[in-house]
Formats: sequence, C-alpha cells, structure tokens
Amino acid sequence: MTLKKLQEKMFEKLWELVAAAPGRLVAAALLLAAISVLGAVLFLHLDSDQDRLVSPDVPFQKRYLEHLQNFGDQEYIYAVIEVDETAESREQARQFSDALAERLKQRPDLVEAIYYRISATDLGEGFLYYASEQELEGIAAATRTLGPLTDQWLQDGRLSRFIDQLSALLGAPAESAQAMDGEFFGTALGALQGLFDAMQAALEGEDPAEPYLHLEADADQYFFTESERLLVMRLLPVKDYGTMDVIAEPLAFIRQSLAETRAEFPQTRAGLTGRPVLQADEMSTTDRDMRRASVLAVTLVGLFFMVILRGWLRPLLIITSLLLAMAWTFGFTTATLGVLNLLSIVFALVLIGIGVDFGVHVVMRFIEGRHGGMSVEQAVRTALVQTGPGVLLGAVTSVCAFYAVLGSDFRGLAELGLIGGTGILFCLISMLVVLPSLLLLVGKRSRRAEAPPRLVTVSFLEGVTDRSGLLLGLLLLVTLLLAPGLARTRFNYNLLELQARGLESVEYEHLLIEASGESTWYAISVVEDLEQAAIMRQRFLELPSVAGVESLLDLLPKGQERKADILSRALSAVPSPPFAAIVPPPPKGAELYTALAGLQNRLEDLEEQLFAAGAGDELILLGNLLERVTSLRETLSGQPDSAARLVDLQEGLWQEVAAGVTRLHRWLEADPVTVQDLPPSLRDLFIGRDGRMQLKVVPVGDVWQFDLLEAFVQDLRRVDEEVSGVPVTVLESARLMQRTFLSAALLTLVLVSLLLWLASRSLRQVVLTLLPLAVSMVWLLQLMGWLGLSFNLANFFAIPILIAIGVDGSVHFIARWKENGGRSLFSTSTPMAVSLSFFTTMIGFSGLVLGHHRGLASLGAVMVLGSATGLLSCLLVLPALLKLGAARRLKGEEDSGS
Amino acid sequence: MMKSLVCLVAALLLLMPLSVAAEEDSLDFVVIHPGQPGNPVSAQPVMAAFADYLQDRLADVAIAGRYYNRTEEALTALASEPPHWGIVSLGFFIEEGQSLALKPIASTRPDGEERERLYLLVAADSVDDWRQLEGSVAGTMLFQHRAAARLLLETTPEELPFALEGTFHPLRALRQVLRGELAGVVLDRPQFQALQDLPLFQQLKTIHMSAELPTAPVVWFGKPTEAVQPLVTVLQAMADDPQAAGLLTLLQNQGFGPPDPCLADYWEELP
Repeated sequence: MTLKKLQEKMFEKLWELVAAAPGRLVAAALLLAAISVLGAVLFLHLDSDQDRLVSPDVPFQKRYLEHLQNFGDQEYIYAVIEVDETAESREQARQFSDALAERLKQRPDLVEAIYYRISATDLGEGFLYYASEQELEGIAAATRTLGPLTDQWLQDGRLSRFIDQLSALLGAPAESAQAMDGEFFGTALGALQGLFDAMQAALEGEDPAEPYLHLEADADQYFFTESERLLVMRLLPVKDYGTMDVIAEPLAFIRQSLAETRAEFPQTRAGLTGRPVLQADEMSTTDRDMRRASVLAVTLVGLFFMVILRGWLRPLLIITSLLLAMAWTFGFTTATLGVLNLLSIVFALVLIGIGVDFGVHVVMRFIEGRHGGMSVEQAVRTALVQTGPGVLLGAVTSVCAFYAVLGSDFRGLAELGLIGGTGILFCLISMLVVLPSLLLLVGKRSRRAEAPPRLVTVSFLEGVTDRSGLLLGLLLLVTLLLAPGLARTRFNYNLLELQARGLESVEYEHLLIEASGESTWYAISVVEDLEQAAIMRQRFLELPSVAGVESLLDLLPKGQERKADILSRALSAVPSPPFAAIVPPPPKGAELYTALAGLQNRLEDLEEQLFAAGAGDELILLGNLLERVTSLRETLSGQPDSAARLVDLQEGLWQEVAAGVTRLHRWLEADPVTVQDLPPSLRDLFIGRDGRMQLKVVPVGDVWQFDLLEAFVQDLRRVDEEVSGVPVTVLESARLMQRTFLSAALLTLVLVSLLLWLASRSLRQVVLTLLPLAVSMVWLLQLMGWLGLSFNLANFFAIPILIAIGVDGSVHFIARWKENGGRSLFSTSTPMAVSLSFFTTMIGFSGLVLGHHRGLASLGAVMVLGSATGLLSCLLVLPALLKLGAARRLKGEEDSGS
Repeated sequence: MMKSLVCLVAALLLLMPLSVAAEEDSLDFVVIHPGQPGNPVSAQPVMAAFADYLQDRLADVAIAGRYYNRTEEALTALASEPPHWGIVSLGFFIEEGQSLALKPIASTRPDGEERERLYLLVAADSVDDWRQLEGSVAGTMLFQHRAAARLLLETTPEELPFALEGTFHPLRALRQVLRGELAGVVLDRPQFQALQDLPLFQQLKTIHMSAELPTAPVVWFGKPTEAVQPLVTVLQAMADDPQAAGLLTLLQNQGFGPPDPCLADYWEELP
C-alpha cells in the first residue's frame, strides 16, 4: 500500500469517526480541556529565573551557578544620583541617598541590603589604617598639639579652662598643612557650635542637647563614581522567581521610595538601573506590548475572518477549536515539565500564529464545498479528506521546526520547542477532529435556514501567473535589483538596544557608562587566597579592556607597617586611659566671661584671615559661632550667677572628652587590619562559602556592544580560563542561542525535505515546495538590509516560524494543483486559504511593530515582512513555476505525439 | 696644538653659563603679600607643603619657601637671603619689581580668575563719587600707596582727596566704615565676593570699580636660567593635578597661567 493510499484510508476512517459521533467527540475534547486547565491552574508554575534558561550542564553556566551558590546573589539594583560640580550638589546627593536609604530600610523583606556609604565604625577598630599616610601625618601632628592640652584639661575639668585652651589653639601656628584642612575646620566649628548651643540652653535653665561636641560622629564615605558626577547606591532586592518579573514588589517599593525622595529633593535627579531593573522593565514593556498586540491581533484577525469567511460563526468554531488545543497543551506541559519558562510562556502566540491556519484550510474547503452545492456532510467530508493530507504535512513540518531544538543546551528554547511542537500537534488534532465535528453539529442545526456561503477567491491572479515566463523574469529582475540589501543585513547582539527607548533604567545605564566609563556588569574570577588574588588582580589590571578590579585586597589598607609607625607616634602624644574622675569647681560667671572674651578675639582674628582669603563659606560658619559667643557673653554679663547651671554640662563635657580620647587611644593602638577583622557584611561580598575569594573585574566602556564584550571576555580568558559572571554568561548565551537557531533552521530544512520526499517520492516536488520558501527568505534578507532592520536575539525566533508557514503554503498549493490536474488553481479556495494564513500571521504580529520594546518591535517587523514575502512567493513564484512546468510537459507530450 | 687648545678653551667658555644653570641645586622661593593675614611662622607649614610638592616633581633640586606679609621684613630678608623665584602681590611688583630685577614667569589664578579687580566701598548713606570722599580709606593692598593709587584710580596718592592706609583687618575696617571711623575700604575680588555672602554687605555700597588688572605674578629674581622652564611647567600643571588640589586651596589659588605681558608697562606708567 502506498503512502497516499494509506493517507486516504486514514482520513476516510477519521471521517467515519467524526460523522458517527460528532457530539461525543466535542464533549470528550471539552472534558479533556477542562481537566487540562484544572491541572494547569493547580500544578503548573512559572519559573522566570533567567539563569535557568540555559542547561546547568553547560560549562559556562555550571561555573556561573556554582559562583552564585558560593558567593550568593550579588545582582544589584543601582540607584544613580546625579551630581554637578558644586559642593552643595554633592551634599544634596548625600542627603538624598540618606533619605532614600531610610525609606528603603523600612522594608527589609523587600530590600535585603543597601550599600552606598561606609563609615569608620563599619571598618572596625583598625579603620585609621584606611587613611592615607599624609592624612595620618596630619592626625599625628594634631595629636601632638592637642594631646598635652587634653591631658591637662582632663586633670582640670573646668569649662573656662576648656575655652581658654581653645583660644590658645586658635592662636597657635598649625604644625602642618594638613592641620589647616578646610573640612577639618568646618567640623571643628560645627562641634563648638553644638557646645555653645548647649551652654546657652543650660544658662537659660533648659535641658541642653547631648552630646555637646559630637566626638563620636565619624564621617561617612559615600560611593561617588571616580568622575564624581554620580553617587551610586547598590540595592539588593528580594527575588521571587514564582512571579513573572521576579522583583515586582521590591521594585515597586523602591520606585515609590525614590519618587517620595525626589519630591523631598526636587532639585536632585536620580533613577534606577542594573540588570534586575533592566530585566523587570523589559518584562513589563514586553508584557504590555504583547497584551496590546494580542488584543489588536485578535480583533483584526477576527474581523478579517468575518469578512473572508462571511459571518461570525465559522471564525468562532475555528477559535474554539484553537482554544481547546491550547488547553490540552497546558495540560501536556503540566504533566511533562510542570513549569513554563520565560521563553516557553509565548507558546500561545505560536499556536495562534500557526495552529489557526489548519482550521482556515478546513473551513475554506468546507465553504468551497457548500458553495459548490454540497450538503453539510459532503462538504465536511471533502474538507477533511481533501485538505487533511496537506494540513497534516504542513503541521508535521511545523512540528519539525519546533522539535529541532529539543536537544539544545538552551533549555528555555528546548522547552519552547517541546511545548510549541506538541501544541501544534494538538492544534492539528483539534482542527481535524473537533472542528469538523463542530461544523457538522452546527450545520445540521441550521441546515434549512442557512444559504450556501459565498466563496472568496483571488481569481485575478490566474491571468497574472499564466504568463509564467514573463512573471518569473520580472521577479528575478526585482530580486537582482534588491541584491545589494543582502550585504547590509547584520546581526545585532546588543541587548540594551532591544529595550524600549526612553526607559529610565536604560537611560541611567547609559549615563553610568558615560559618566564612569563602566557598566553595571562585572566578570568573576575565583582564587584560592590573598596571594593569588594579588597576582590575578595585577594581571587583570594590565588588560586594556579592564577598567578595575574589586577584591578583598581593596578592603585591606595598604602600607600598614608604615602607617602603624605613624599611629604609634600619634599614640605617644595622646593621654592614656583610664582617666581618674575629677570634681572640678562649679563654673564661675566672671571666669567664663573672660574666657569667652579671649575666644571672641581669636575668632575675630580668624574671621579677618578668612575674609582676606575670600573664604565665604567658612566666614558664615564663623559668623554663626561668633554670634553664639556674643550671646553667651551677654547672658553671663547680665546674670553671672547663671553659670552655676553649667555644672552638669561641665561634667558631661568631661565625660564626653574622656570617652573620645579613650576611643582615639583604642583606634591608634589597633593592630593592622587582617581579613578576619573585616566586618562580615564586607567580607562576605568577596569570600565564598567554600573559603575561596572572588575578584570582580569591571570592563572598560560599554560592553553591551558585542564586540567590546567579546574583546573583554577574550582578554579575561587569557588570564583566567574559568572566568565567569554576567558578561561571560551573556556572551555565551547569545552565542548558544544563535547556534541553536541556526542548527534548528538547518535541521528543520533537512527534516522537512525528508518528509516532503517521503510524502511525494519526488525530488522535483521537494524542490518545488522549498523553492518559494528560499525565494521569500532571500527577499526578506534583502528588504531587511534596505530597511536597516538587523537580526537580533529577539527577532531571530521568527525564522523557524516563517519556515513552517512558508512550507505549509507550498504544500497546500501543490496538493490542490495536483488535485485539480493543473487547472484553475486561483478559482479554488486554496490560494485564499493560504493568503489568509499569511495575513493572519501578518496581522497577528503587526501589533508588535508599534510596541515600545525594540526587540519585540523588530520581531513584529521581521514576521510581517517575512509573511509578506512568503505570501508573494507562494502566490506568484510557485504557481508560475507549476504552470511553466506543466506547459513544458504539455509541449513535450505534443512533440512526442506529433 | 695651540689652535686646538684655544678652541677647547673657547668651547668651555661658551658652555660655562649653561653648565652653571644646569647645575642649579636649589630653587628657594618667597611669597610676598603685604597686608595678607598670618605671619612667616604661621604660614610656614603651607610653604613647606608647597616646597615638598615642587621638590617631588623637580628631582635633584632643594626647595624651601618663606612667606612675608610686611614689605620691610620682606625686603630685609631678600637682601640677606635672595631667593630664586617668588609669588608677589601686584602692588609689591609694581613698586619694588624694577629694583629687585623681577621677571614675570607665570601668573596666579585666585578663585580661578585670570584678571583681578579692586572695589572701593563706602557706607550705604555716604557719597557716590570718590572725588567727594574725605578721610582715610583702608585696604590690604594699600601698603604700596603709589601702586594702589595707580591700580585703583590711575592717579597718584597726592591727587586723591582721601588718604590710603594699609590694613591687616579689612573686615574690621568695613565695620569701622559703618561706624564712621573710616571713609571707605578697598577690596580685591576674592574679598569682595566673600563680603557678598555676609549681612554686612547690605549696609555698604560700591562707588568705584577699577579696570581689570593682572593677577599677582610669579617672578624670577634676576636673569632667568634654564631652571625656569621646568618650574613653570610644574606650576602650570597644578590645576589639573588632583594631588595639588588641597595645596592650591591653602595657597588660595586655583592654578597658574602664563605671565601677563603688560606687567612691565606699570613700571613705565608709575608716576
């Protein structure tokens, strides 16, 4: 028995089944769909973890996952605060970051960690080792001046003496230039202002605010970029991989906090970026674009169906059959994988694009039959038996395109291939079993009322394709004219260019790259110990593509031996605790008044010096301080006895200074900092669970550009073959994806060719079927080149779908050509059915062209363009070839007959 | 033989000045700003830091710096210990530059400005024309009377209706103006800018503003040698050197530029 006979028998049996019990078949289909949907609702879940899209057995992915497990998730959201060159702007950026951090700290369940500044206490007792030698010399010089004075005062304890010593200090020449540092000056004036405010309050009988001098306050170092144009906060969001966008809730909270902080500081500009935000924004824009496109597609396709299929009932039957197939696919996915990933979640769109076409062919043939005067049963039977083999072959070729990726290491694609391919098979079953059953059921009920439907054809193309030689010549000429476009077609790997324009996260990623010359990506190299870390760090820094290396070494101060000497010298000048508590005499009004008068003179001298130097900011500070001194003098002059109210303050000040000196003593005598001394929050950033250390290697420039990314990873591998991290993963994933698509496209072609040959046992027919596809692909590439449309990691997915629908169209054309004996092809329903298939795809994807996500928009553009070229090729090239072949055959027969 | 010997001696004679210059092993400097705050002792740490900075960049040369804010003290020191170069106030340059054979080699950039300006301020309810001003006018730059009169009003002290008085306390002088103890105060650009931030400014008015003037020059004492160029290169690079930022702040300067070509004209114009 030939394959054709077998097919005929199989479809006859299928017809018998459908005709015998259409109601029961539909009921069984509905029941299965209900079970599938229920199962999916209960057991199917979404895994939006991008790290699980690639097989964990692939070496680069395996290393990356190991690193993630070893060092924890360190993919930060970056809050980027813009700064201009003024000191006010820097201060405002600091205040902005503090305010934002304060808000974010309210929800530790959403924001796990915030890194944006570091203070001395964060670095532990040995924090002075982090200062430069020059700064330490300044401290040593200051302790030489202040040490003896402090020692004396701690044994005296009188407030008036404290003020006298301040005056003496202000009058004495500074020992070194460091001691004249403006920042130090500002801090000192601020501390004195606090003391004088407290004195004024105490004199007036109020409770003074403690502490008086703020000696415990240590300056925070904020994370400004090297260019000082940005202050960057790193935020670690809590991730939920059970949701589509993983960080939806934390991101919404961070954005809300940012908006509130912006309202508080309207002059400061800030925004979010970093891989998690970019991914979430991408997810949200693609989701929005997909929704809009889907609504537009369903509306337009529905309207289009209603026009072409003359009414709403038959489109509804096709859609119902499609929905049943989709429900079964959900059930299949639940039973086999139990999970949908970020790629396989789009399978529904695939089924709408491809599966609906099967129904179109069946219904169009049904309409043709009814139009030709057939009964409902006859029309359904004809549609099933005559269209069935073509639909089957078309479906199997589409399944091949999807199953071709099954063995891929790109697990996301492999799962999409399994779900998509199986879904197409379910669509096939639904369109060949459920749809005919529904047509029978509906047809029987409305048999009397319904007039035979009108057939819509494209018969005008008959005349066009009759002049096959001329038409093919013209098409060849057009192809040749478009040929230069081929050379312009490119593959763009830049993932940032897939994102929507004007997206805040994209803008701030660009700003970060421009302002700091770095991106938010970094590579990871793992070393065994500090010694190896130092060697590797140096080797990485020598690479031209490396901007910097962050490691544990950055957390350990340099030149600790020399610094220990300086600190030791400074320590010798500082009085040694513990300090014996003393009871100084109560403050006396006259003594204090005189001491304040002396201080006022010194401050006025200082004011003159600052004025002569034009130091406006410091002058204002000093002016404020002088106002307080004047006010204190006035109070003491009017009520000398009120000085007795300063007893507690005098004692508190002594306690504060003693505690401050004790703390300073502890800092000065601290041993050099070792890894073990580092606070866990810092140490854990670089030391993994297995005790090994990671180096974070930051690239130079914009590694979103693929050539720079390739050069960066290539450079790193010369130093460390095992290097990992986001840049490596992105590079390798992109390459793997491209390889997978290419091999899948080739495998699809081979499988489809084999199938076509098995179905026809004719090489000529295989070539005829594939030729329109080849021509349409050439036209697509040429047009893409002319339109400046590049292939990218989002639109490359269009190729297998275009192969599937391209082959499908040819299969139906050839089947009908053979069925009709090569006559009146365009007065049948087949060209319209094929056109409808292409049009539904074009309409379905046209909504994406207007989308904000540039990747999806380009996918829409390629699909629309590819469908258009596929349609033209099917309608013009294939019939022309078929007619040319028939004419030659006829001529040959005539020649042999004569 | 004799001819060769003569040639050798001639060659040695020709090379000698170059060798002397090349072998210069000290580049001591002075900063002379009569009327500016502080004293030679209190300013010594800044001078030492400046010297250290230069020494790091000009290897094999010993550098030490001194600061003077009183003219007589500066002149005495210059006579006993002549430096190689210095930064001097514009008034000092105009009045003493010729006798000390000062040669401008660079210029300062106080507050980043390339030009200086002087302002004559009086109490808000005082006269509007300096020709009607009587009494004394004080200022840090008024210790050199002839130069000050020339720079401020392009005239001589004798032709002024008021007396010029140098002061180390310009802020106090402004308060004295408000109390009627002084007729007016002359401020330079940094002082005038600092005053604008203070409440005091509202009670004063500016009745005259000088033409744009050169900033304080960096000068070489005597005939410049080959050591000038490396020094000027280092000075002019300071504005872009992050390590110099703190030092420049202490020097109340934002960098150094090329010398003002018109400086010597002031010597000819000085009455």
